[in-house]
Amino acid sequence: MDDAATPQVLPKPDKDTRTREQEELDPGYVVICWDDPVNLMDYVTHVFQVVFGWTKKKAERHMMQVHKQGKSILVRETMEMAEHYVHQLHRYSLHATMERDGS
Amino acid sequence: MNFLEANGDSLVFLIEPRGKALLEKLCQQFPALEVTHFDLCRTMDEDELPDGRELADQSLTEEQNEVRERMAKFFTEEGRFETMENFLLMRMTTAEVDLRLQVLNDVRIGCWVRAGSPSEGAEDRLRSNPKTAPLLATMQLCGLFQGALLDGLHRRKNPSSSEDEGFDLEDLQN
Repeated sequence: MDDAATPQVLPKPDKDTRTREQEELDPGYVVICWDDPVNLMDYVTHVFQVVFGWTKKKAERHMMQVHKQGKSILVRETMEMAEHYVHQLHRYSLHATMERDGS
Repeated sequence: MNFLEANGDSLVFLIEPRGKALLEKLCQQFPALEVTHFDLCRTMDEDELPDGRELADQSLTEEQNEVRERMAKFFTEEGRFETMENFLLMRMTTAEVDLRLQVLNDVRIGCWVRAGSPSEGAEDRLRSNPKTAPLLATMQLCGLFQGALLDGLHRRKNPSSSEDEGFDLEDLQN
């Protein structure tokens, strides 16, 4: 029998897989940096500049927000990119997490 | 340790021989923080988190081992240090300065965690406790070296003004 002539039915992706894929592409995640009493302010500014490619002015604005308000939302991203940024910030020993936007 | 001059991507610091020995000793304490120290998130449920946390931790551990080997070589590499009267000239690229900042901060935060993660203003209490006094001293020393390195990066970029347009990402990523 000729396989090419046989209509092929692909298995439907299960609901969980589809939901997960959609979530990974959704820029519905925020990267937050939390305040701690130990990191040097200039160091935090430096890390933001390196990790996000920001100007010193923008990096300082977020650093001051962390310092004064206890946290700063740094970027809104997809799940994958948010996770990437959090790992980068952990590499510099900054206290950062990713959360669902609005949670 | 003080920043002396920058030549393209290379920075030169002036350091005393005992400063070099101290810096080496501090860097030998890396990694001081457990790779699992930081949580990926605070509010999301386990099943909402990205997969592969274990893999990410494993990769970070491997990276830390590589960094530790590079740190060890750094202090004995030819051309890295040049004697000038009673001082040494220490040459580093911007990427090496960035890596050293990471290492010193890891040691600094690691000491803070071992001291019980004290809040701001607890220096007097830490200094008077024989268990935490060395940790506080290490934190302060790391901070001093970090300050000098950050000053070097800043002055390389802005030799005569306080205006700063940010670092060249390419410099640090090469």
